[in-house]
Amino acid sequence: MSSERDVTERWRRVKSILDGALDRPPSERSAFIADASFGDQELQREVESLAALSDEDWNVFDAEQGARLASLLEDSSPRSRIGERIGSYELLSELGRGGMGAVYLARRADDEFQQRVAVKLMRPGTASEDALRRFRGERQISASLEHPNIARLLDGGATEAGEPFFVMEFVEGEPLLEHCRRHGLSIRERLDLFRRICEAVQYAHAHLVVHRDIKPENILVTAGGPKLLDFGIAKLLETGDGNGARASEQTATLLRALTPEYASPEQVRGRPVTTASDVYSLGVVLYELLAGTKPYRVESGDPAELLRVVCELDPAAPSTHAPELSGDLDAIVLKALRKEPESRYASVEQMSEDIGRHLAGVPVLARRGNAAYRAVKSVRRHRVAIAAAALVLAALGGGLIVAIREARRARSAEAQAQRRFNDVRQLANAFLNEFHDSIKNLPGSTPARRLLVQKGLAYLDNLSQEAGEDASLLRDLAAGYQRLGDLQGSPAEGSAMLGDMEGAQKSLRKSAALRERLVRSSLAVIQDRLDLAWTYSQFANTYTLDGNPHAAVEYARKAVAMLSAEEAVKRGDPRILHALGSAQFNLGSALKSADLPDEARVAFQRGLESNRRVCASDPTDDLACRGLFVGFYKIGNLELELDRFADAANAYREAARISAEFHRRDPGNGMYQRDLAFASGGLGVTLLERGDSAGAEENLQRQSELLRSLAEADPDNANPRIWLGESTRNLGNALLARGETAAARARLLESATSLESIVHRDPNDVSARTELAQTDFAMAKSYSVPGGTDAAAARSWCEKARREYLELRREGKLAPSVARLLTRVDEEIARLPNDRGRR
Amino acid sequence: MTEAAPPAVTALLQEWSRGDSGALERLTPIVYEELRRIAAGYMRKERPGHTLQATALVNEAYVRLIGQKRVSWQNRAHFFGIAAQLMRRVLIDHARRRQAEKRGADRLRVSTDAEIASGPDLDFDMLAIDGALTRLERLDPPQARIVELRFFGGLTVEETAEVVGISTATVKREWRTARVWLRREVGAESE
Repeated sequence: MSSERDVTERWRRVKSILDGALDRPPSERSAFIADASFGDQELQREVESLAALSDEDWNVFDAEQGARLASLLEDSSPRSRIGERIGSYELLSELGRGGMGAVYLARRADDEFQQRVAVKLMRPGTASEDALRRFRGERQISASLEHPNIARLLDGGATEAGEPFFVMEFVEGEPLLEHCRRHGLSIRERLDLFRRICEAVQYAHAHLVVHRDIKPENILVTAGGPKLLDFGIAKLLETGDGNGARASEQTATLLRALTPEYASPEQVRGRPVTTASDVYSLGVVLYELLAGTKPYRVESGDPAELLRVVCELDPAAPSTHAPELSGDLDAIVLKALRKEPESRYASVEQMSEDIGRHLAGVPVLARRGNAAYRAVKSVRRHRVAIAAAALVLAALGGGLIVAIREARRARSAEAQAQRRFNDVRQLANAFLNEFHDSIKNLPGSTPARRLLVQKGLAYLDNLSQEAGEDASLLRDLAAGYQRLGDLQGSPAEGSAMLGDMEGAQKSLRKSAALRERLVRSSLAVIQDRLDLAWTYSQFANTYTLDGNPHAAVEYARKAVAMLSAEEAVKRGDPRILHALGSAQFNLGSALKSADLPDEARVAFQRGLESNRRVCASDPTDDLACRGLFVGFYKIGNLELELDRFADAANAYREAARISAEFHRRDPGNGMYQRDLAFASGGLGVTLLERGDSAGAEENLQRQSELLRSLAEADPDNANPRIWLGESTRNLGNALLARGETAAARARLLESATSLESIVHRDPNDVSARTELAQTDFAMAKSYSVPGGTDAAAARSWCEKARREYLELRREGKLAPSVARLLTRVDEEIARLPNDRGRR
Repeated sequence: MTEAAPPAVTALLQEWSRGDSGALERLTPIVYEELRRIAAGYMRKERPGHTLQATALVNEAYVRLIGQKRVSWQNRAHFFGIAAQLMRRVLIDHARRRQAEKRGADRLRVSTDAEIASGPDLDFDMLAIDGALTRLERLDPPQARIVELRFFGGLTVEETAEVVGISTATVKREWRTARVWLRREVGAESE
């Protein structure tokens, strides 16, 4: 018997060979499997048997599980009922299917005249016992609705399985909207048709029957005019009528029972339903009939959203869709759609009469008293705008901009437009900030970020055009551009490196200009100065990366000076100290690249101090506590470059200790993982320089593992792979120092190959090119070690490195710290003995 | 409007990832309910020609329950894991019931055409796959997880990669060998 572990191990081997075999054409598989099995016959047979199985004809995995799941979850596997007897009716064919059940064409089983009827068969539990009992009582009332425009209710009850059913007059007709479309009815013709529908509803209301579910699908147009279906049914489907059911449950039930787009606010809220609810639904129908679209869309089945949309969102006037409707018809439709039942038309008759007035050219009721109504409405506006914004967010695409234009264009007062505009703008801002925050640390989110940048830029540029001299708007815009600049490629800690430096600087410049304007104005608050300092810091960063250290130092000093001057620094205000700390770090980096190492060290230490002040008093402040990592890591780098290895090792150890703690607490966070990788790598290189090759190897190995998993998680981001190339090279160097020349060369080659492929894909990637040259140089040195000397190889690798460095220098992209390496390559070439090929 | 605030799903996920197994017990019914609710919504809309994707179901449940709030990476993975397990359970329970019904029905009466048309093989395969997947779970838990997410959770290769935290290439490879292996296991079972 083999142990569990063996079995697992075995499967791993089988899997790996099988994987390789499946990569190859079928004709080559056998040979490959035999090869890869190394004579293990059992293994070979096992893989053969698997590889022989084609799963192409086995489509069970491709079967669409979704629809199946939905019906299972709903616990209602729909099955055909054709031919079944319901009461005394035989089902002939299915006419339609809805959330509550299905409608069938049926005939009286014992009817020799073959009179056809429609049977609506509901799912069990959709009507309570109570309701059904009541139905039997009320049936007479409903059935007594004798009107040429109302389909008669003939019978009803429940099947043995407890399914409620209703039998109605079968109406052959065309659904309302389809009819209008197909016959190309004019507005006047549509209004006439609508008034006939109103007559029918009015008749039912006079007989104390409320429809509750008026919608275009329930109105069929026959040769004899429109006909309303389902009168009196919706009421029977209510559950929890006054039995203390919670509003949300009622809403959920209603959601299932009704078509949410046509339900009135009071229905959605589970409040008493009156004839005014039918007025509302008729308003929605009229809206759609005239404007060709619904006043709102209820996309999800979420009760909260439904409540928000139906109860709070003011519909756009029908004329926004069809300008010819402006005036009377806008007013009439909107009056029917008022949120409060008492503000609507008092009756369907009144609504119909108002339409009649419009057709006769007489002033309509709906346009009187509008000023008072607007005043009441404005109180609610705030909530309304939020709901509008939520909808816009759902639409995501260009929806926001459309909404802004609409808001601006709105015929209401200018102040109102401004308010709406602000709401939408806040939303845009929240979208950029919160959405960005929620994805920025997730590995693998680069394509999403790229999309975010595109969308964000479009939003902001549009908003800028609409912006006036409003301080808070300027703030939001500046913050938006700053975010974008950050995303586009600035090297702020933890931000995504998309590498579009030009775009980043453009966005940052827009942000800086807006903020300078603010800080100069009388409206500036402390946050504005903080923000401006941060923007300067960002500039410094991009200049450092772009090889312009003097501009970088200038901006970084500006930022530090601004922040140090703040009073709140003395109080230890964490907000200021966060900003000051990172400005000091940026200054240090700028100074370092300007070749001012002593000043750089001071700046790093001051940055460390700023962060320590915060972290010491609040250890849960991740930003400040991680700032300690940043400081130690930067100091480590500086000391390493100055060949002060003992100081470098101490700093890296601290950095590794801090980042390991963060990584342990939040292992899925790519940033912490990267931090730890960097600190381990720095320590590894330092130990290598100090001659501790075992320690170096251990740390570099750890770095490689961390980076490999980062690279896997985010294949579109070149950085982890560049770092991995660097780390692999360092590992090679460690092995070389231990005298393991062959293993070292294998690593170095691996590093060169992977960096080469990155450069190949993006020839402008300066850091990949710099690292590649460095790896090539390391490769050269591996051919100059005792016992493995090959001067020709050493020379050709040296020359490759030299070419690459020179090319970078020609383009002005060789950083001073790297320029030193070119000198070392030259020295190495001079030292190499001349081989025969070169005289 | 404070209607229908989602239960503290994020908090429960966090507790669970901290090792509180009780949190999972409280979490599962919430996720299940949400899935049911969304399924009901889709059934209600019943747009012709629109088939609901399992992945849409899971993703919608995720957005509804957790929204776009800041949640840690593992929470997202845990969530999709729970959802996939639930879907698996729903499908398997149904398949079992159907098998039982069919055995009973055969003795009693000849089924109508409609009954037969609904595909008994799928049910059988479903149970066989479930069994095989349970064996794969012992053999290679990460691979089994990928199968569960892909097959029962309906996640795409990309989504699976994102949730598990590995590359799409790895998911594709694992999925491919898993399919072949399961094919053999299921085949063997039916013999």
